[in-house]
Amino acid sequence: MNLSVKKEFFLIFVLCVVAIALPLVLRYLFVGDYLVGTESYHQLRLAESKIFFYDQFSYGGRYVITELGLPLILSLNSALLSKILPPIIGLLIFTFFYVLIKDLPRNNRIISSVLLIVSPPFIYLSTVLNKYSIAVLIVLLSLLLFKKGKYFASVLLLSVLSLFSVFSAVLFFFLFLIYSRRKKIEKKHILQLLGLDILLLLTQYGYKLYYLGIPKILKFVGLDINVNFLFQNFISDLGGPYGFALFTSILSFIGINYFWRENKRETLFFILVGLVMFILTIFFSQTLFYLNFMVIILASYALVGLTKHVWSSGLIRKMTILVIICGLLFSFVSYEKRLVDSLPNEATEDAVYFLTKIKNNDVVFSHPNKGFWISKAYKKNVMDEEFFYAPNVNERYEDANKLLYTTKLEEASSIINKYNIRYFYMDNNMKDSLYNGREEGLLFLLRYNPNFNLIYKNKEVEIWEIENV
Amino acid sequence: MENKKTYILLCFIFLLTLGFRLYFTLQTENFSSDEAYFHLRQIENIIENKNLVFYDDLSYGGRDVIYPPFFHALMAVLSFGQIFLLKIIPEIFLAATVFVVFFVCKSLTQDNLSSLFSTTAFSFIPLFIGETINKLSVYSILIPTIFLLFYFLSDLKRYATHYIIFSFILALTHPIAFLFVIALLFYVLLCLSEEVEISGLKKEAIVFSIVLVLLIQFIFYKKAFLEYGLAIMWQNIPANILADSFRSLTLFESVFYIGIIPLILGIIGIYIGVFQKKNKLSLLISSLILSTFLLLILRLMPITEGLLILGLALAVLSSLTLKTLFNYTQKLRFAKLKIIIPAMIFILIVIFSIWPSYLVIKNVSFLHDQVINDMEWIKENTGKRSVVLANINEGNLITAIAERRNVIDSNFLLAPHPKDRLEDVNLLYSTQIEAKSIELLKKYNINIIYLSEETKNAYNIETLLYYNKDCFQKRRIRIYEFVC
Repeated sequence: MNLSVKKEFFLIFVLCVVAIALPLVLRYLFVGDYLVGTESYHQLRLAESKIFFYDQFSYGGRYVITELGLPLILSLNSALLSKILPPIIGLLIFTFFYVLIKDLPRNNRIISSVLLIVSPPFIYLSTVLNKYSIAVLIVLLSLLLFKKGKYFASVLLLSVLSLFSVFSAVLFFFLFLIYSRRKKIEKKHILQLLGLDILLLLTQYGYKLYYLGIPKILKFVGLDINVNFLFQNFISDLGGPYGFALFTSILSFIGINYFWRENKRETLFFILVGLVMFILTIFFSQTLFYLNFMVIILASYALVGLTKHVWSSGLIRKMTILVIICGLLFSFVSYEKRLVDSLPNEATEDAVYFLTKIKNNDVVFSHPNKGFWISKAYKKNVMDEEFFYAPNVNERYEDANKLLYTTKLEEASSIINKYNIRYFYMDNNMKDSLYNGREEGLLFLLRYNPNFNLIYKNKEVEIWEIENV
Repeated sequence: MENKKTYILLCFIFLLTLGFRLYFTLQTENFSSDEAYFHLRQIENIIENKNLVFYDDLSYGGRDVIYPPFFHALMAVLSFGQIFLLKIIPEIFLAATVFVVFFVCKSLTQDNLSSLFSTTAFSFIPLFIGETINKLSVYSILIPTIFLLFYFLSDLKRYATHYIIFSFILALTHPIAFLFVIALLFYVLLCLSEEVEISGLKKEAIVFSIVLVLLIQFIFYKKAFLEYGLAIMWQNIPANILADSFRSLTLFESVFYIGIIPLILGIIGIYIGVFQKKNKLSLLISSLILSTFLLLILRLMPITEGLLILGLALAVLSSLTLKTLFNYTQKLRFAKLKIIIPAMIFILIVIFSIWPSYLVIKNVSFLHDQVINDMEWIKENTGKRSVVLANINEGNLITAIAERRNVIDSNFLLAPHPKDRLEDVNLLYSTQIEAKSIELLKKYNINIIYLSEETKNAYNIETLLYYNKDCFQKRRIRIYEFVC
């Protein structure tokens, strides 16, 4: 069947709409009308409250460090945009990616597009409200303009990147620098980008840098609550929040061989960039969103190569390809299910609403992963996931860990008094991940010490109040 | 040796092995291991409810269960849940492995006599006998499948379809499928180092096996992967049991469990196969041995499982040594040696394999009828929601025969807090402090305490040390009820 490019695009686009809509619709039907994850609530609060300079709830009060691009956009109509922005961005990302790879052989183009649609990082970008969605979109658009020779427009767009992700802006400045030298593009474009980047970064962070100085180096790795080891981040099937599908990553390794055969000149550069991104992913997991495109292209080369390869046994060929397709679908389906079931749910929302109703601005303690929900309830948290420039972040992390795992009242009370903690937010996710379902650490103290009162409880969440410590 | 004679002798070995196995299996109506009752319960569930168990509300008082279903499904289909058939069918499969092994050896050596000797040595490896007789063992499917896969892989032009089917069977039977994948990767390395060319078809089959095993195991063990990550290979086993199951390999254990004949002849066989003949099948079996050996050295594989695979593979490769030895005797001028050497080998196999196997199986503790009677008594005389305390090796008996909740059993994967539970169970059987015991009994809602002879021996006690008439009623010789 030979479809025209338009029809081919339309069909894959429809598939993309289904893949993006499916988790959103299922979540709406079976869980409720809640955003996914924690960062979405942070962005939403900043937009709703128009907090652009000082956040009184995060870390008990701190300067806003997060990039303000997304909150500014959301502030136009936060209720509507928080819902529709991710899927629209997802569709645009898909469209730009498709246009970018238009020059690839037809089969590679189709398979790459389909692999993108079923890839967990793409699904995450298209369903969860987060600052990287727009950053990825900008990068793709900028690449598209770059490819068409519109260098200044491309540079202009790349410079805007720092409004959404400073990390991405720095990463792509260096990549632009290397690629421009390789393609012998005029130096003025590099200088333009450098100038614009510095200008925007100074506008956003100049005064903060002046007041706050250089940020502290983190002495810990802020892993997700369900991520037990660093490597897990890479593979979604192993529990990574937006890692690659297992079979896509295996295929990408096979794909290097096929890619090398067809693009001998580009392979080394491509692989080197991939390797740098891979190393960066260890420290900055968001690099996965960009690395995903390279992994997908390599995987498509592997799939096309495997199908074109002259197999000695037709049966083994069919079975192998069938198993690989099943593996890809398995990762896709299980990731969509994970998104549908992910927190927050009705119980979490209800608990956050309960906190909102309490008429004071006291400090609520929980795991850093719950910090954004606590501040969404207009309560001060001890820690949240925004570690960059956070006040005494290493000390707070150490204290938070001590408090989570101590059973000694004296130790707990010294930390409670240090941060003026009044409430504790404890959910099943914490009980399972931190205490393995046992009554240990803080949970033990809360249960068996008369100084703590259970003031709220539903099937998922408990909120405790400190009476006198 | 003529083919007809060979096949008659092969059938004789099959009958001898089957007879040996059935002799011990049919001596009792019960199975010999607690684990067999785990399998029995899964099989009965398939027959009664026509579905697989993913959540077991009796084990650990309720927990998720993951186990590849092929073995249970096959046994359910073949036996219709008849315990008698469930005792016999695995033994037939295990005895019939001699045919598989014979053809593998024959393919390796093209010699009937050495293949017959190796097959005999294979059938009577002491550990193989001890681990599989009367245990409703998953090895009854697993062992023939692994060797068949190697056989098919060595001649894919004829057996590609068979290879695909058996790859599915292996992946759906046991996580040991990962060992097969590692062995295939070792095989590729071995071929590269020995400059042996791997055909395109074989490469394709290897790729197919890798992706298939990864997919199926990921589907089954996804939850466990998410929970334990790469530590899944230690199966959530409590540390003290783990240290024992994954202990280091020692020479004494290897000689004792594998038998000195397969061990020595097998090691020489590796040398002949890899460095002299460079036969593809011998490279495949050698890669299985090397990968198992490596996993054992790194303590990434349970010692029993590892030694079993190692012993069986060495027995297969011993055919290469035997063939070389027999060929050599043919060249000797002293004609009687042509008979004496094989006869001596046979005697050595009897002394160092068959006789130790007999001793091993004689010393295996069969479950006594009194234990089964106790379980049936518990089933008939206690409430359906009762929680029964028993030692870790009786947990599956509690769920399968007594049909009551246990505190702990030997299936640790995804079990809730097995380490804590094991410590608490140990404490409940060894403490004299009544307050502590009552606290723990209440913690797990235990109302029946089972104190079997095995438990008494294990904890060196004669009775419950905190027994008093206020809180405990002795309902039967070995069964106490907690009434406080």
